Amino acid sequence: MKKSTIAVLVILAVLLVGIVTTYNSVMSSKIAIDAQRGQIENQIQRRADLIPNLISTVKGYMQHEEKVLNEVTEARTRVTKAGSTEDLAAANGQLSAALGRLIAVSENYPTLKADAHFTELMREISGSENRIAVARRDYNEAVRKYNTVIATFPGNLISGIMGCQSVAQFTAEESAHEVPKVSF
Amino acid sequence: MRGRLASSVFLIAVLLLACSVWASDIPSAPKTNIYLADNAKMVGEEDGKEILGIGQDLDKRFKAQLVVVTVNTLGGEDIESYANRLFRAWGIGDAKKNNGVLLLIAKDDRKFRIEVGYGLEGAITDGYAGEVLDGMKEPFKAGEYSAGILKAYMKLAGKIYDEYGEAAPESVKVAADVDKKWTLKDWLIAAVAILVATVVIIVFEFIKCTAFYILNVLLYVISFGHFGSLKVKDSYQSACFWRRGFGRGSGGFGGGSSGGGGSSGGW
Repeated sequence: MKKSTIAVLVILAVLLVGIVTTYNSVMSSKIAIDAQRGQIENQIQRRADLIPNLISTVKGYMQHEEKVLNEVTEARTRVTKAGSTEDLAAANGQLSAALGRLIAVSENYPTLKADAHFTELMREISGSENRIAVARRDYNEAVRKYNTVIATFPGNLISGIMGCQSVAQFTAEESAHEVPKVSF
Repeated sequence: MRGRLASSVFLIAVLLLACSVWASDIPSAPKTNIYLADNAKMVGEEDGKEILGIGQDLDKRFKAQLVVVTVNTLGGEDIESYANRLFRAWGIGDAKKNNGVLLLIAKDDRKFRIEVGYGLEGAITDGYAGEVLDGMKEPFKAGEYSAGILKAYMKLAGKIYDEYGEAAPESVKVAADVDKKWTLKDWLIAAVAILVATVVIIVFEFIKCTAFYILNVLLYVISFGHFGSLKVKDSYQSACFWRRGFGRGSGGFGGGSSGGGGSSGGW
């Protein structure tokens, strides 16, 4: 074999390895985004699942707060019916706001605040809220990594061929995601 | 050429230093006695020893890591994200089981949080974590930090023993359930029990190690040096706990993660 043939073969081999590893890093960062997205959805769902229990506990104490309670129930229904992650985030924001109002109202019911079951549920709910915040942070971190990979060399070559688009960060109204604080 | 090399080495060193300074807003992970990082000096000596003892036992048995961290201030950050960052940066709990628990106390901010790794979310629910924190409020208000922390630690440890289906040591139950003070007699009994247990373990390990050494030498002789070894060190490495250098048991964190489970509060 000629020397030049060997040289060409070596270059080709190096090129191939480079393409494969770049492709893998693009794909794995893409998969990481999907996993984190699923995590957000799980956590939002988890909190929504606590709501019916909360409503039935609260109802016994609050006879004159139909409006607030209905808002929470409606927002919860919207969360369970949401299709895309963006819808889900928006619905979740509304649920947070409605819950905030419910908590504000509950300040007027000392016996409710003393209810052990209510206390427990509120802890679970604010725990869920924090989990959602963590999941969202992780998602944004995964998105940032992915966007960096596909925008910089050599990932930009591969992503150009594959037609990868950069993904938007999850900015769903940070203010609506204030963890509901209850002082016991 | 040499000057250039030296200057680039210097540059790298400066960069590394800059990185470590930049990341110093959370305390660096301790290498030894990892179950109690008492940066704000809130835990008494005796209570600290008890915490370390239980922590080591949990780690050894289940690879679960229950860690107390006290800091003076959170530096303006909210305790939830601070706790999560610290939890992940240190890697509390086993990397596969994610069974770490962090009890973080910020003394000057008067805030505390229990952050629970994925693997223990079932055992220590957010509700229970909140309950444990509630139990800390009263002693904390009275300035009895050490007692409050120890009691919370025991409660959490009790849940971890439950999770893995093992009975908690008597000291955990006593400290978590009842507040009654130990009498001198109780202490004496406990001390004697611990002494006996220690002696039994040491004797057992010694016998085991000696047996391994003899076996190794025999193997070496029989196989004309193909297998086994005459070196004490080789045989001890595989059999003896003190040769294993306590392994991961007390040597460091396991790389666990947390998804933000737990509860926060203040006093």
